[in-house]
Amino acid sequence: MNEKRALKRVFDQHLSSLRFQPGSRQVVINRTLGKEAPVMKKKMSLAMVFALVLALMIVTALAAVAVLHSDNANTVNLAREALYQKYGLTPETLGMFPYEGSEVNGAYTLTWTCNTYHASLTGIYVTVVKDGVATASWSYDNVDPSVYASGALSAPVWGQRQLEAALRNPDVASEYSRALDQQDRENNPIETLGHASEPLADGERIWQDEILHEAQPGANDLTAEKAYEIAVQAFAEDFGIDREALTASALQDETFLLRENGRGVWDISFDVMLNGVESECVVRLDGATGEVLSIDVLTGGNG
Amino acid sequence: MDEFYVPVSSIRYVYTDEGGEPVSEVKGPDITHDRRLAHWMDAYGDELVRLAYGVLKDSYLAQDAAQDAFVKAWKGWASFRGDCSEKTYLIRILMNTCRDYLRTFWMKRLDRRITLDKLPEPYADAPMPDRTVIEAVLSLPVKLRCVILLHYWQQMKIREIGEALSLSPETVKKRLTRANQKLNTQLKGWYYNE
Repeated sequence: MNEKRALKRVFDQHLSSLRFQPGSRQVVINRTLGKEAPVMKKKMSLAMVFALVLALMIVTALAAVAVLHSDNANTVNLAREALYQKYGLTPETLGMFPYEGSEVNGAYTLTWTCNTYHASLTGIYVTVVKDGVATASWSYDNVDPSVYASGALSAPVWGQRQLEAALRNPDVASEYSRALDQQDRENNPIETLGHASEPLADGERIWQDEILHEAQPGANDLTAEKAYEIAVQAFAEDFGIDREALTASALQDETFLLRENGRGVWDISFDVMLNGVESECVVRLDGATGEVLSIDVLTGGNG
Repeated sequence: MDEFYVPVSSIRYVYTDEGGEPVSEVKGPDITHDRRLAHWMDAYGDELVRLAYGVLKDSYLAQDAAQDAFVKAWKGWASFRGDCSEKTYLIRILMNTCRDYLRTFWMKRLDRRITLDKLPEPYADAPMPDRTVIEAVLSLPVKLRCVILLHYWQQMKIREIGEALSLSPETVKKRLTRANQKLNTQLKGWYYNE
């Protein structure tokens, strides 16, 4: 069955009883004639009272929220800081580089690869964290910085300035990236596909090579509201953002999952503007203790 | 006694009672402008309410959002540059209005408690449709839900969705792909063929 037609029919069937009410029509006319105040403003006066009471309750509750970070979260924070310091990257630009990690003899190696633009432009960053000290490297460390110092997207190597430009002008940046994709296809007409992994079943998510299963929080687990508060607080602390600014963020998803070891995880994502860049923040907390397991920022259309 | 609005002529609005007798009449500030507003409400009123419902998941707020959108569109029409169709212009304002609603602290807290059993009842004479698909769509994160609603329901093209949501076509495509992936997983064996 054609998906497009099928979905349209479903929407039409379910929502056909919703109509723009005559009363609403009257309100619009009155408001355009200056006879009536905006609906939402009137409603907000009540809502504001409610919100203020709620805000007071939350501020009180937050005073008791202590954010604990797991070793994993601390390691990633150290790695991020090293990349900020050495290459001038920012949370927004680094948000285009999802990472993969491994651990050998207490040394945690994270490989940060851009999945928005061609890797030959952005290069790959690698961080190693051992004994609380992080070092960072870039696959273009040997390239003369004058190659990318201009910030022009036409440069063969993209540093921080190009990444910033790509976030501001994704269409232009995509053109450069697509041209390289095209070259790849022409040079390698027979594409070598990697091993296709098994698709995730309904209610499953993958996190750090582990499959998590959706579940209901138990009696000893945090409530969704408490988990959300900790997640926002943790994000504000780690990324140095005013807690108030985060009240403008929009909750996208809040799911409780079970790990293979039987422990619960809260997976919480919300939208946030980082220096004018639309970003998605994903925070994972231990379901029972609220310990921060990981915080990821996704930008550049990955979010 | 309920009053309702009837645009009886091109030059005035007449408010009548249930018997159809005029009880008051008001001349608008600009005839053409007012006729445009009436046309918008006739042509797109239901669609805007339904679309707002798809985003906000609350039928009362959907009415409010549609009202706000029409008023904003009416006030902003003079500065409209004609860079998209009239319908896209209205949808763009509606989506911005919905986004503003969702961004209020109050709504954010409230939204998390809305359950899917608040779906509007279909008309009595219509066959009762299965709720699996609509529930799957409404459970998507809001930004993925918006592109699905606009693309599959409103039958808008990628470019038009970009205009309505102030996004690049590339971003719209990515969101559409992600939304389809999620729906594919949830609706396996349903409308989405493997």
